[in-house]
Amino acid sequence: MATYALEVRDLHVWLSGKEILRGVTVRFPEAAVTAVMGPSGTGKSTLLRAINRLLDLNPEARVEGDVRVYGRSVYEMEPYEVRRIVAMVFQEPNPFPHLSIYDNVAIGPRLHGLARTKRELDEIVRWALEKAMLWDEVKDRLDSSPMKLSGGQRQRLSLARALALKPRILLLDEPTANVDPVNAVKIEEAIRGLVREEGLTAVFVTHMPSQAVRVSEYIVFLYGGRVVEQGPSREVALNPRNPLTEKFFRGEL
Amino acid sequence: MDRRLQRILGLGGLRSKDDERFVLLHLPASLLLLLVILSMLAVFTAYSIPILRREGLHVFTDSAWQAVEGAPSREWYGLAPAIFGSLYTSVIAVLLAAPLAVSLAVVLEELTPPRLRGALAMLTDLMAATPTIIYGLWGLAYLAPHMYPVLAWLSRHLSWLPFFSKHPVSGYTIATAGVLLAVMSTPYAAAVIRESYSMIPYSIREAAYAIGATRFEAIRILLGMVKPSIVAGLALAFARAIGETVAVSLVVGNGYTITPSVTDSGVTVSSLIASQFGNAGFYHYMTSALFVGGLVIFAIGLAVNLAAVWYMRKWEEGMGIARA
Repeated sequence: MATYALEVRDLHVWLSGKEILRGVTVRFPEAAVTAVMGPSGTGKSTLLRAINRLLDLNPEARVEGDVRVYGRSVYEMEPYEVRRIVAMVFQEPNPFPHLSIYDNVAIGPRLHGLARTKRELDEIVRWALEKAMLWDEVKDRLDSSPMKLSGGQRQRLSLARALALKPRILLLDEPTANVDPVNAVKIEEAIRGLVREEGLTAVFVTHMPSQAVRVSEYIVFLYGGRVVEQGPSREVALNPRNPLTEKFFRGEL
Repeated sequence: MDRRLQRILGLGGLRSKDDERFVLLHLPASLLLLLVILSMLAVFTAYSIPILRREGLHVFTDSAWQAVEGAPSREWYGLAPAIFGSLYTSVIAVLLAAPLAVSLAVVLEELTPPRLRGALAMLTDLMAATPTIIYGLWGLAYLAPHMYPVLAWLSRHLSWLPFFSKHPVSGYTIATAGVLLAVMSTPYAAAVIRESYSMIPYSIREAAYAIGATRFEAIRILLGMVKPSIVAGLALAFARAIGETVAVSLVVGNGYTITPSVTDSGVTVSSLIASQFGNAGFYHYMTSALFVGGLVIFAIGLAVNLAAVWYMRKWEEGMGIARA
């Protein structure tokens, strides 16, 4: 039996009075990728933001239920503590445009005091960039601006910035939606590598069935703010039990 | 229309009569503006010549202001105290306005509930739109008298610092002028900073929090992103401060000396022009000296603006933003 890094229990989320998540209960096995799928507007991004408490930023958001990271409720932790352990990569590549490539990666470890010396910090930065499969492309221009990188490189930089926090869990909100296919493959490979080698737990939101099958061990299918189906990726993709899932995988939803 | 004339007016590429009329209609307005600026430069230069001929560069470096009626040979004007005072009060104003403007922008954008934000923003806009004579009278009647005990305390306890070395004789001092200018220019700088702070994409804001920044840390990161607008806002504040006339002359004390002590009275170029120009006609060289003063603050304003533009260009280049 797998152990679970992350548990969501009967989670309800209202945004501006509208109920987006209607009682989501789901467990994410450790050291595996779980793809969260579903049509747009079904609450995938909201689920991620409830997990790392980014919804706190939205004054119109109301949350009920619980999210537990290794057994601890995130709602009993400090938000910055949650977000150190549960890092996130967004749909839009969003490195800080005014910081150098190096500082973009180093900013997290600096905030959280993860490195005691410059050498330790250098090591974390290098490790994160390597894991994000970006090191070779930027190692000679760590001081230059991320705005000189391509979109796909920027997204891998965003991934490196998240990894530099040394998180246990990685939330990925359609991380390849805005990058070219070559970069998409690199990002997928990077995630697989992190799960395999570092034992990271990844929650990978995607609406592409092919990507979900490629990248994940498990699939959670959301529809209308509820979990409609979940299970090992192959099973869900090949023999969906719920007609809605089936329709979605046929591209009809 | 004649082909050659068309080319000269830059109408060569226009397709229709309508385009042509549009340009012909708007050309005079921009030409007029150019003419005004050129004539300003011409007038200032022409009026400056007599005193420059007589005193040379001494007009910038000397501290004397000798106005003698009917004896041009004994007249002598040195603008150094006024130039110094203009720079000193403006620098004080910018140093005080910088933290004020940044906090005002942050408070409005981050800490004010949306329902109150509109009202508060309107209030700061109103502050920016208030005629400066209002500030001047407030400074004269309220600020200066209330500054006096503060300045007296500072000079009593910190007189070993050159800034507070002189015991104030009244509240009408360089410090008071600096504070008043800071109050006047803060809303301007804050508006510029706020504008660009509010344009930070939500995805960047989320990024700051997603790496586990506390609110304070996130704000610091985001402020780093709008650094060019902070510089631009402060350049604007400086321009406003160095150009301000009446309000300053009401509180600065009009003492014609160069002193590092902000608790002493001082003078600025603008306040000097305002207070002296009425009598300048009685003297042979004073008008010319005052025009040189005008040229000086024009040049300082231009230099500050160019420096700000240069800084922003460099910033954009560093970020790889292509310029059109």
